[in-house]
Amino acid sequence: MLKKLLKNPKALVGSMIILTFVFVALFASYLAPHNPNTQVLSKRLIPPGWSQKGNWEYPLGTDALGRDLLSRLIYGSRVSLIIGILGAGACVLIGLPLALLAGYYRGWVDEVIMRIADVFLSIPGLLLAIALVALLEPTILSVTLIFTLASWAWATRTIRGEVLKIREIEFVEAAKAAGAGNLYIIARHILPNTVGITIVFTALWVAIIILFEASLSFLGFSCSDTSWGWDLANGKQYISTAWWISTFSGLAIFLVVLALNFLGDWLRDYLDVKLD
Amino acid sequence: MSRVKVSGFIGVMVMVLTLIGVWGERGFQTHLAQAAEEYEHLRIGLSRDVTSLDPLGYPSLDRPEFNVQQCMFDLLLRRNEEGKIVGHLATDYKWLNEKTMRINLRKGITFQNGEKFTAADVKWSFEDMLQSKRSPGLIGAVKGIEKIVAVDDYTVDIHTTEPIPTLPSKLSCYTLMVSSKQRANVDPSVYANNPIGTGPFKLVEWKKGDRVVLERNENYWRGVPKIKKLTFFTIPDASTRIAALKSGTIDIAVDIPPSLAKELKGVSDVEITAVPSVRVNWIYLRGDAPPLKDKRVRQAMNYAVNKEEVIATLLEGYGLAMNQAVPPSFFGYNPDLKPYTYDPEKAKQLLKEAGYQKGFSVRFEVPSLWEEMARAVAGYLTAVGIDCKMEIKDLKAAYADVLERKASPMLLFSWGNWSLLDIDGTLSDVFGCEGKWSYFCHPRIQELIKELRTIDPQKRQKAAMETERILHEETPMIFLFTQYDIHGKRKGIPEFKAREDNTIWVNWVKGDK
Repeated sequence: MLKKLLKNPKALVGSMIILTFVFVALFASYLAPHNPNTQVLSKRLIPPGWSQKGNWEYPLGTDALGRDLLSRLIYGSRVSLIIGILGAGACVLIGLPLALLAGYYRGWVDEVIMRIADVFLSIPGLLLAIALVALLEPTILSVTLIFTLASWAWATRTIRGEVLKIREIEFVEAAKAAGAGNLYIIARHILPNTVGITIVFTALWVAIIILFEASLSFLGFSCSDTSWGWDLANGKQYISTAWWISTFSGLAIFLVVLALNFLGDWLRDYLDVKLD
Repeated sequence: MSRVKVSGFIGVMVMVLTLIGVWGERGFQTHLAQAAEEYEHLRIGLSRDVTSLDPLGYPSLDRPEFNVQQCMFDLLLRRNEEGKIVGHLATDYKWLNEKTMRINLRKGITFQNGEKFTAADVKWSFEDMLQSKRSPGLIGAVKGIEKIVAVDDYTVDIHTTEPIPTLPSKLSCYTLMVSSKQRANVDPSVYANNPIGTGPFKLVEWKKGDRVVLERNENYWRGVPKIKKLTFFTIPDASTRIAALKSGTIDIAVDIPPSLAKELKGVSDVEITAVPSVRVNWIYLRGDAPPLKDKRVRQAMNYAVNKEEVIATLLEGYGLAMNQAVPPSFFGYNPDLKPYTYDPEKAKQLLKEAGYQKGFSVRFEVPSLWEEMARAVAGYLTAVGIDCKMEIKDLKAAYADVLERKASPMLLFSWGNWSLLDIDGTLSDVFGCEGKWSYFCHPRIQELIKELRTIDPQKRQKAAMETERILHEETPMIFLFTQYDIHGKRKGIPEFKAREDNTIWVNWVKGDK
């Protein structure tokens, strides 16, 4: 697998970026040159180190309150990573069992689960999230919960399609003929075959949730002091005089989402999964 | 699949769209004549939509509405360029006694439909404001008026339930006069689209959410207006407003945020006009529970914040540090009070005396609009050991919290003084025991509020000085700063200036200096 990964430039770049991202998030407190929330008003809006008025003490410059942008990006990666993984994980945790039940049993079980999923699919995710976040205080946990609520149906729908395909394959019939119980068949024959699609889905969904969190922070519902989306929104009003604030946070979101997509694409080809 | 990719490029798309938006504006050419003798077409970019053109029928007293309406309607009195109250539809006024004001109306004024303007119109306008359910904001502005008596066609007496020393101020803001005959016979909803006043401009076209187009009233009683055609555009985004001004799509861009004012400096044919306005920012310190109950703690918080640095940086110099309830230009400002200059050591000392040498943690509610300012302030408080737990809220939600007495111990807020430029417009509402926006109750202040309600200027002056002294000592707020009104304008419109009462005045007539 590693060999194939190394041969595919897109996947290679993608996984490098993600590895860096995870590394940075894990060791944020060692890597960040400053405390991300220390504000020094007299040092506000300093441009990045390489520009004329720049200062290498602040490699990517400072924001409107004089906080080091690089440190904010480094700490911000934690929020993105935690919410991305927790959110996508929770989606799969809910979506996978429901998809197995709905896809395997069909009939009324399928009807009930999928109609409920349809209701959730019909509500625009961001809108639902904004409505919910107005009710709950935005914390990492509540925001994760909100994303899960807004997007579990996608996991269910996607994985169920795969289950429908698998249950028609002969080995399932053979297992039935051999007298295996329904739960045994689901656990031993169906579940292992949905691993591919689940992995691909998770990789892509982490990207979507990172974007989702950034959008929500951009709109002012931030669960943390250091969020890429929050910096992006905050830098917006300074874009013509201090381009670096929005640019670097936007770039960070862009790169991570792009990398996850590259990796997801490659995983899809590698695991030979068909997504609709 | 494609969903993921599309979302990935949203950032890029937003930037491209912004660029298209900015450059698209350049298609227009300016129609502005260079000579100050007359303006062919003046175009003003407002920061908010105009919700109503009916001076008696809009829900809150808000600037965009008033600024457009005062082009078509007139006030009884007005503030001139120096901020002095002068006659307008009224030639003059005098107090008959503490509770009665006599107003002499100017003769020979007609509405745009040819009807004469008389005392009956004044009476009708005020009575509608007093009864109107449509405009709660206006009811506040005319509160305390008992009845209006038309003595003869050109003399009106205003009787009030208690002395209202700020009545001249109130008559020079908000209370526009409408035609009784025309107004009484027309359904309010129809009237909103067909406003007819005595003012210098007539309505040509109103596209809701987009623009209001006016043309000059050649028969205006003060003379021929200088501006032939006047258009108000609604451009809510400040950057877009600035781009429109730079590109020549508009001639005046109002309400430039301090952080963006820089963008107008060094642009060849554009300049800034700015003045300290009536609007101030402060942080409520609720004294109903410890630790903020102790006035030494509240004073410490005032000393802990480096207001001058916040003004110099975040506000780009557009601000005045405050140490009392009203800014220097107001009636009631006490010049003898010492400023709360930045002194973290003194702050720590005061906290120690109050028994909080280890500091404390406090909830701090902030409307998202002022988040940056709040974070700056919180940074200074952290430095002396006060840990602020920020709660960012929507502006409307924060308003509701104040009104419903649910605000956190600290809350960042702003106050516009009803544009009265008098301590009265702040005192009872914000510092009175029963004030709608108040978290403060002090027995002596309560008495002083009453003492200030007299038409004798000397007694008022004395009461105001004592009031400010107490407020300075008690500091129920972290007094932050007075905001500036900042507008951008094309060079060659010398008449246009930012005004301290927060209004936009373009009703210039030929012969005005």
